[in-house]
Amino acid sequence: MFDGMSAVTLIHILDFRGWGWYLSPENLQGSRTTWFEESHDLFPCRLMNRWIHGLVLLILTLSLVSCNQPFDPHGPFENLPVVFCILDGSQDVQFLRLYTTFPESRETNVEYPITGANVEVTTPAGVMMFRDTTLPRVDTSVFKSPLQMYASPFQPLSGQSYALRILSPLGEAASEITLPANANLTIQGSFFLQNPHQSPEDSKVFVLTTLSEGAKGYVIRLFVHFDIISGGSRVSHSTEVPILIKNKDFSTAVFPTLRRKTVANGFEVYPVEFYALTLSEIQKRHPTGQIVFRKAALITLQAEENLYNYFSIVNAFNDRYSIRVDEPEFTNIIGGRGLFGGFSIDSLIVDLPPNFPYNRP
Amino acid sequence: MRSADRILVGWTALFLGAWTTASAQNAVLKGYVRDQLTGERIPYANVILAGTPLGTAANDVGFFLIDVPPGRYSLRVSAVGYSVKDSTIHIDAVRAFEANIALTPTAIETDEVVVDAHLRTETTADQPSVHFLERSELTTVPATSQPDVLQSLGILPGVVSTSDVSSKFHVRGGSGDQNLVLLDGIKIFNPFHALGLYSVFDPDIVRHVRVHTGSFGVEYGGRLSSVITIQSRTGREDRFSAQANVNFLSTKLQMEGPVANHSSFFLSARRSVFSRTISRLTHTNLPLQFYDVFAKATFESESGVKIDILGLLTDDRLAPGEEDYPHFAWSNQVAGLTVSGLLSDRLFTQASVFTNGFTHTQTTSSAPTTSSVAESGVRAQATYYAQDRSLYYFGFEFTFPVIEYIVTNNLGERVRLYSIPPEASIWAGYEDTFKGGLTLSAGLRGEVGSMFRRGFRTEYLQPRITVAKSLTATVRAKISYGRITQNLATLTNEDDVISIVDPWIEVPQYLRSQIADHWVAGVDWQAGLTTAIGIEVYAKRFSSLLVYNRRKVDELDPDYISGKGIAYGVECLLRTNPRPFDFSCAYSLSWVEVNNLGLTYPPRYDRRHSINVVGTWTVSQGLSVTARWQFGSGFPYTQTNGSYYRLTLKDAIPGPFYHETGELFSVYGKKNAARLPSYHRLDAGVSYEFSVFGSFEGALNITLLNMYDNKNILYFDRKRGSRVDNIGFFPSASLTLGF
Repeated sequence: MFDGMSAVTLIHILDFRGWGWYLSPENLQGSRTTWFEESHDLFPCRLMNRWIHGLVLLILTLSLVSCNQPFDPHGPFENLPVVFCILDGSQDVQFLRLYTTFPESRETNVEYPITGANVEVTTPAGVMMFRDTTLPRVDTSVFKSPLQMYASPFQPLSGQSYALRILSPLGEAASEITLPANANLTIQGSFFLQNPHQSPEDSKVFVLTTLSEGAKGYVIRLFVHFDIISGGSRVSHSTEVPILIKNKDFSTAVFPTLRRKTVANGFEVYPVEFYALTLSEIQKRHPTGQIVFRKAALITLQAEENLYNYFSIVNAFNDRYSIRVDEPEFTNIIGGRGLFGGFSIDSLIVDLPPNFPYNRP
Repeated sequence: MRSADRILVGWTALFLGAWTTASAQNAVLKGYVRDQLTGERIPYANVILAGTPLGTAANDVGFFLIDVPPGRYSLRVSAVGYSVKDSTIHIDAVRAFEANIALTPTAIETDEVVVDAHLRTETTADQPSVHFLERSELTTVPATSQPDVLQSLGILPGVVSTSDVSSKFHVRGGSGDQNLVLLDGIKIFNPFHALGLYSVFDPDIVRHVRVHTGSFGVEYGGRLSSVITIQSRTGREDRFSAQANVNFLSTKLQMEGPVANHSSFFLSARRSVFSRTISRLTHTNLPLQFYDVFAKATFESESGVKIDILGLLTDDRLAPGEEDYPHFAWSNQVAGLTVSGLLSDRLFTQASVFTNGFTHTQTTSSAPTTSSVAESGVRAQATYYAQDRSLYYFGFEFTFPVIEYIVTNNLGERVRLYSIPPEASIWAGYEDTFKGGLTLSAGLRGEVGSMFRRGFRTEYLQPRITVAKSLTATVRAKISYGRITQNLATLTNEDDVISIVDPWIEVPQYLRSQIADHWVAGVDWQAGLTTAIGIEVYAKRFSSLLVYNRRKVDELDPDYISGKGIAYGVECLLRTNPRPFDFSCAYSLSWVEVNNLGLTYPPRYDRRHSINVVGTWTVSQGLSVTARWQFGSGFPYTQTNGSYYRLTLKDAIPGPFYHETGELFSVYGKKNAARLPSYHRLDAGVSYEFSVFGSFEGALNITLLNMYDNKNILYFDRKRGSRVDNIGFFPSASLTLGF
């Protein structure tokens, strides 16, 4: 609610240290003489005399003892490993970021990676070791150095448990998760995906998915995969289809987000109108070259509990109606900070016909 | 029988039993106590029949009624700031004897020996945890540039302020929104000017402040921790008078005078002058502006029926010139009409209709945040003075506040909270004195509106009971219990050091009302005519408190839940005024703890030790010197133990999470586990009243705050890595001229 600026301004203005001459002995003496002369009662004069001397002594004493009490808002610095690892059931290589916390006094535009740590994930198939890796950094707005990573070539399996253990100079950090089991996807209205131009107005594609018990959150997403053929080269692309577009303006597109599983089934509804608008948008964004739409891919991503909790809390509780302003921390790393999470992905492919009307020869 | 029914039946029986104990008939001595000069009524004056145990205190509009056996008596009336008035009266059998008593201000007759009515009032009041502050006391407490009503509360035990730049206060471990601030019975939702530096109540419009720091009577409810009743002045009936005041921060004009026979008006307007004084002196932009206007008209009939019409307008603007800082504006609009008088020989009634509104706007580059409370209502209370000297009082209050809050949340979504919770309550009470100086005061308050809104719960039937007993002629013990609920709360991030404006919301209906049970026990010792010592122990159990849901994960989890809490402590107050000195020393030892789903922590305003020493020396007539020293042990805060870059995973579901840079995030230690350095400072003020050209009167006040320039930390700006201190050495002056 308040960032402190105004208080700072006010306090600085009210800070009249330079006016200390008000308390100079000359001024006090002068005041005392004046009061004595005006008074006709010697008893109050004596009292006043004592009072003033007492007050001066008190102020001097307090001034001496009132030297700034040192204050440091920092507690004992906890040098902890910061781990981020999200097991992706659709990928055959898994990555892990490992850094340290740093004191607030340190530079914030420098990363503090931990290299040479012993990182392992115990999987049903055995212990998978993660190795030091360096990747080029995509976002160089804050950090310029290449990304220091750990990577391991394995593909997590749905419904299986994974235990992370990290041994580094900062000690041991550990965590454990279980990936959700497979989901079953069904679709009503796949015809509309293949023939959007023949769809009645307000027609919709309904996607229903049966979620696993181990999933805490899920999201259903629809992607359109297409190729751009230009000058003899073919480049594959994909674009996500929104669930809402306001005023036919694609910049207002709203996409599904991770939501909590409340019942055994999850669903999503895609108005065909927005599907068609997405196809048109793709045509606009690729004004030249041949466009070949290949398939529409529906995916169900099921997030295990830690990933879901972390994602929601970090993103303002993923709550459009919340009025909370605090930013709590979530971590499931024992002996560190960060997140060890995971998700599984199940997909349903709807192939688009060769004579798909949005193809551009 | 359910427990609630048993309570209801029990209390009904208590009332009926008490009602039927009326004793033999006496004569009635009744009347009003007034200021001899201005005609203004004097509240809470002590009226005693010397040499007998008979006596009473006038009510808040100066009315008193005593049943006395026929005979000749010496009537002694005293009030703070007035000379004691002694008179002899002869009362015939079975007859109402009207005694309208005019007291002379002590400023006029300084030679007269004055029994300190203040001390007597507090020590003989049967209700514990009640403090009285007269206008003269409010104006002598040194404050930033000009005296302030709510800042002056800090001299009382149990009242804690978390900063020098805020009038906001916490009472006995309660949060800032648990204080009921009433101006002539009308709730003021945001009684603070810019940054809370001042309250909206100019001390010169105040007749009297009564502060209940715990276990208050049945007539009060809706706030868990304290009741601040501010009674405004009425205009002079004897002549027209005007006054102008200028100080570093504001300027003021005040006028009052008679309108017709037994009627008067009072008008006071105040406006900030920051930009023309301090800003020019320091060449710094102080982006604060405010004004407040208070007006009151009083009409009184020959029979004593009094009609008060009042209005209060306040407005604040805080507009930092820097980019990215929001602009704030807020205002109060208050109007009310109160009628008081005797409805029958023994039934004194007060009834009010009122309306008040509070609006707040916070403008940023995006959509503004707005909040408002608009309330209209009616309140009535009657007091029946039974022949056996017992009191029966009953009343009701019905209001329907319209509360709205519109904000853009952290996801960028506009959220609107709108509610009209009925704030309706009824109450009845009984008060009697028995042999041996035992006084019983008991009552029951029913939160009818809450019952309709949230369903019947036992906490909406709120017993309040106080027992007082004279142990010796000068020592009086008191014990009290009360239950209170609160349905409105302010939306303050509990970790914010300073909030500009606190929007009000209704406690969500899915939660219980906030509930507090107060237990108070105390002993008052009248150690001579001019010295009183009071010690109180208290415990306040919050069985339901509105707190953040610390286990909230997503939109399916509520933002807030019911937490619990407890506050307890000991308070000591010494007051002595051997002329020409007036001295008070208050010490509080307290503990506060909030429990949020098993996580217990002291809230930010938990202060273990608090000492306030105030001394005033009236050097001569018109010249007084005041010094105040305050000490407070450090407030809790949460330490930071490091930082790291936290990923938001916005593009990682699914996606390469490892490419994200993340956002800087602090690692915090245990919540509020550490303590800031202790706070202490010495303030002094000199007040000199003088006459100019015969008919003009003036007052010069010089105030030196934090005389030894102690660096009292306000907070540590974690973003900038710098410490922000409270006010350092700060001299100020004000000049008042009037006639």
